[in-house]
Amino acid sequence: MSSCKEEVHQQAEISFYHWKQDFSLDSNELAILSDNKVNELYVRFFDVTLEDGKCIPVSVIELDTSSIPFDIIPCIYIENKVFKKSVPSDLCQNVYDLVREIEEIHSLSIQEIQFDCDWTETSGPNYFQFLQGFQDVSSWNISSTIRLHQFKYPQKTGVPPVDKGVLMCYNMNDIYDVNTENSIISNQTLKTYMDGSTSYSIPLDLAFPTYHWGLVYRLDDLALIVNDIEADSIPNYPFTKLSGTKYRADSSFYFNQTYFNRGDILRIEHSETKVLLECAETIANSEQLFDKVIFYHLNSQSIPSYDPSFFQKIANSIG
Amino acid sequence: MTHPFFKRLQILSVSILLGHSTLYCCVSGYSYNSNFDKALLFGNADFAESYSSWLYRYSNYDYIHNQTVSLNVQDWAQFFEGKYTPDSLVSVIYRGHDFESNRAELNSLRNKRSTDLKLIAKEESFIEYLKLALEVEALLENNTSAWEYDRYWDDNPERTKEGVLENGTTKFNRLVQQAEALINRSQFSFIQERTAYQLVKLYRYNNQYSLVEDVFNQYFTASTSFISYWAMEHLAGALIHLERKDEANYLFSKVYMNAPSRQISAYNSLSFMSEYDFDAAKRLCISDEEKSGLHFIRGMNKSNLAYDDINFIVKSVGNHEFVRILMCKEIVKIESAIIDFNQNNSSYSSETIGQYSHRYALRDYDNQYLYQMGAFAYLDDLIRISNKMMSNDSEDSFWRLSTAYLYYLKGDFSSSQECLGTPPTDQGMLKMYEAIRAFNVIEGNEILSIEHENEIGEILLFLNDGQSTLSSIRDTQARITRWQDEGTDINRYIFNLLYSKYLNQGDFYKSIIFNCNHSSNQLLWDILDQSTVDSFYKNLQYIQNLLDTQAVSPKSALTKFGEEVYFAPAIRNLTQRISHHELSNDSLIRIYLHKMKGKFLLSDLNNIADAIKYFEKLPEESLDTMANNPFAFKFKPYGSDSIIKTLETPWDTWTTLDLSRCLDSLRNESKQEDQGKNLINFSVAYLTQYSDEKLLKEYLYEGIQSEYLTREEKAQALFIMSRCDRTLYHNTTQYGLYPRAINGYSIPDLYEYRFSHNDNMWGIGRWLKDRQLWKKQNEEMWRENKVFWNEFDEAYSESFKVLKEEYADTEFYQLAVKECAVFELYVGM
Repeated sequence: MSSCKEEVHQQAEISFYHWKQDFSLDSNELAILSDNKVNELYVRFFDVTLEDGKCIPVSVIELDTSSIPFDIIPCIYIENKVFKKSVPSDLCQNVYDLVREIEEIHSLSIQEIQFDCDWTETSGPNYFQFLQGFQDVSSWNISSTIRLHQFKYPQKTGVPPVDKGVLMCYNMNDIYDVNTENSIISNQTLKTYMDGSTSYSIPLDLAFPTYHWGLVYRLDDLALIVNDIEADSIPNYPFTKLSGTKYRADSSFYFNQTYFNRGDILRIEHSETKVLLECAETIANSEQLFDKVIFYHLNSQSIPSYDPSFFQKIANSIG
Repeated sequence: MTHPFFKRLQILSVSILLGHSTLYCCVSGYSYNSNFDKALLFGNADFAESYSSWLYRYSNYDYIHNQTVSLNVQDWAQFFEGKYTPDSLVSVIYRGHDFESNRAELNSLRNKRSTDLKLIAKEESFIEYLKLALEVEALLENNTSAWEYDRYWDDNPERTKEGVLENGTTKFNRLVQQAEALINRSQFSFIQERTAYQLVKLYRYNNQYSLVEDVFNQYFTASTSFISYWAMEHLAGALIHLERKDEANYLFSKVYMNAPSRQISAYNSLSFMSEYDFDAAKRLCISDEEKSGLHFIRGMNKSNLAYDDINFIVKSVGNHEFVRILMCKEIVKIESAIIDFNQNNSSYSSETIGQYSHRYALRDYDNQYLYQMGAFAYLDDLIRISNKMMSNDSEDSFWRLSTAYLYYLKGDFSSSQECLGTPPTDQGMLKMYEAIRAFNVIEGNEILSIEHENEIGEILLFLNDGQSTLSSIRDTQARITRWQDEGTDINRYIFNLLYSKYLNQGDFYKSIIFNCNHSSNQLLWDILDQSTVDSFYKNLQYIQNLLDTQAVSPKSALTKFGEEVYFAPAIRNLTQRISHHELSNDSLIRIYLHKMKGKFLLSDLNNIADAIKYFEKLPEESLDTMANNPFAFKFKPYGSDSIIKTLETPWDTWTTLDLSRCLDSLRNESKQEDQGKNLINFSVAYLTQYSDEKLLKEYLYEGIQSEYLTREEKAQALFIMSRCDRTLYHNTTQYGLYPRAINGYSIPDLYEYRFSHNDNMWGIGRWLKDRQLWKKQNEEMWRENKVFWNEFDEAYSESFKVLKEEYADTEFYQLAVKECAVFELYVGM
């Protein structure tokens, strides 16, 4: 760690993403937020996609509570194809109006909005133009997610015109390769993006994974991703264990609300504590400073598998 | 919060998959490339609407919309007893204008009537219904804006169209009353059903789900009409809200099976999350066919493997159409897993060498574990079931063909051939049969004998209705309306198999003619590469090889097919010029290749005399004539100003031979006293026509060093040399400027510029000018790219620097800078 960074060392703030369509927090989730002194919650409000050439919101959030004891930062996922050709007219206003409507109906007080878009060389300029345009219709602070390759090659990919970025420290390895050990996170891969001198030109927060999933390979290709897979139930189904993380389906059946076919290979991937701590150290050794660590995502099914002090340890490391 | 609108429900159905449990990967539309089926190669109209054409159409929303419109107007045309054509009703129902008045609309409708027979009551009833339906549509549309969070009429009574005074709730109540009144007074059950459908929609979108069921039960229970399935889909949606998921799934499956225009939405709304869900819906089925339908729907999921569902259907209903459709889908799926089709049709080229090697790699895979899990294990499953079905094959020979093709995919060519058996009688089936036979012959024989080649050549001709072509095979008989992309690239597939085979065997000539290219493209752009020092000799050797191997290559039906494809433009061109000679294709190809060799020779200015000898042996009509004035030097990239035009010659009647002779003569005379202008004219003509810039530069350099050029002529020579510099720069960097700028990400605007100007590679001058503006606006980026631009400037400067520094006072220099945008820019740098 550089001496400059040591001088300003303090624990990073902790926050979480809430990435489900139904917003309701159970007692476990509320306890996690309370234990980690979370003040702000990043909540996915809706996605924006193109349907029949029109730009529309999908999977709009359903909030069933009017009193939420946290500041809510709405997150809007915009599919890359939305910006492939141009900036859709009225998109800024439409997004703003819809978020405002949700804010009003649920008596929220929004100070910041976060956009998530995996922009490319082609769509980048249009996405940036959208972000610029959004500043004209809203007074909220704007943040944008930054992929690792965008972090490493800012001159090629550009830097979004926003107040802050969130470096997404997951989805690192080739998900399509059945032989990949873990596509979610790997310290070895992270090191290739975070060499000691890497530093981004806008302030950054850090997004860290706490999710797990099952990847289903069929006919030698990735066919399905099963989110929040109930790995403990696997022995109750006709799977044959092939290795520590791989299983073969021996017949066709439903599992985890998913139809498996005979011969499917299921690979379970976790965001493991050990790997996450190693990654936190790699990040701590870089020049880049992070104010906050946001864990993806708040889920009472997977979060309890982490030691209660885990989130603090990560925050301590990268602060 | 609940979701009152069906459109929203569809979206939710998808997002539940995304957000809640499972994300389906790689299940987009099936590819254009597919060897098997394509409605069994178009021949059998009975299959065309149900076999794999359905697969390709599934995700095509335009197609679904058109189909919906078509089916709906057909239904109405039937109501009007055929007195209105379906087409005439399209603009009435799917209108771009508001409803005027009953009288005006009635008059307008009657103008479209094709006979004088009166249908007054039906027409009036239709207009009444139309008015109501348009109002319902407007109300729903107004309340289904995707960008509105809360869409209840009760909560947002003000949300109505601009200018409409009544609020949503009032309008809703009025429309319900009008619909009920219209149902009561209409004497036509058709109109009653249609109006009841509007009622179903109104209740559904106002969250009155029980009323939806009441209306459906009252008007549609016994109906199998077009609109009854549309109503059924709404009922199914309502049942989900009434927490009767099993019934909803069952009804959605009925809609899927019976209403093609609602297939996509019904499919997206089906939700089987567990064995229980599936079995519960199955228990509601009243026949084996309905049960099989549920298995068919699950099997049709693009991500799923249908083997188990096929087995169920076979056991329940035997050799049903469901099974054949599913087998087509499975073959498309397994085919794309085994054969690495090049998805981009246009990029088939010699670079696709070995593109099918994936199959062999898998077949020889040492890792049995992966083999057992992967595509080949499933292929064996499919072969097993297809084999079993062969005993139940009907006249169409479907199972014989599917089994044969599956064996081919496995690499068991003899079993494949055995399954094919005798040729089917149906023309489409026969094409499928012949295509599989061609695959087997090519891959089942290490060396193709002349008999094999004749066999394949004849099959190719048969598949293409007697034409030698590489184009996609399409339905030339056009017995039914085809979707525009319903073609197949079997031709290219076969060519690629042949290309790989001949390349591996070192058969130079055949590897060229089956490389999925045309001589006019390849010989000009690929072979005429002068970027290396010895490229001239390589090119010469290449063209000589073509001539030599063409002469000795046995003329099988296959070779003739390949030649007619590869040399098609050349043959066409020469046939038009020298048709009275009635030369064979073989002779025309040789003339073309000799012409090419002459051009190669000309590209070295020391070989002009040899080229002349070569051209003199060819028929005069076969020689190219000048497309532009060889002595006019185009200064501007987009202009045509000529500043060096000292020779007045009838250039447009000249042949390549005439020009060669002229060049030879100019060159011989140029090194004489007062003959400097000949050197310039020679250089201009040589540069514009044949351009070996390196040699030309050397030649001009010699001239500049000599005493026999005037100062003006030396300035001109330097200018031509600077043009040579630029071309050489391009060549040595493989069209250096553009790829580097594009691939290096360093000049983003150039990338955009290229596309905004139709990918015009030669718009460099114009772009350079625009670049000045860009440069000012992007100083930072400019600095980062300094190295790039320094290199770029170097390429221009070598000869121009001398011209600028030593000949700036010449008349020519002033004119050049004034006329040429590129140099104007350059001088300012």
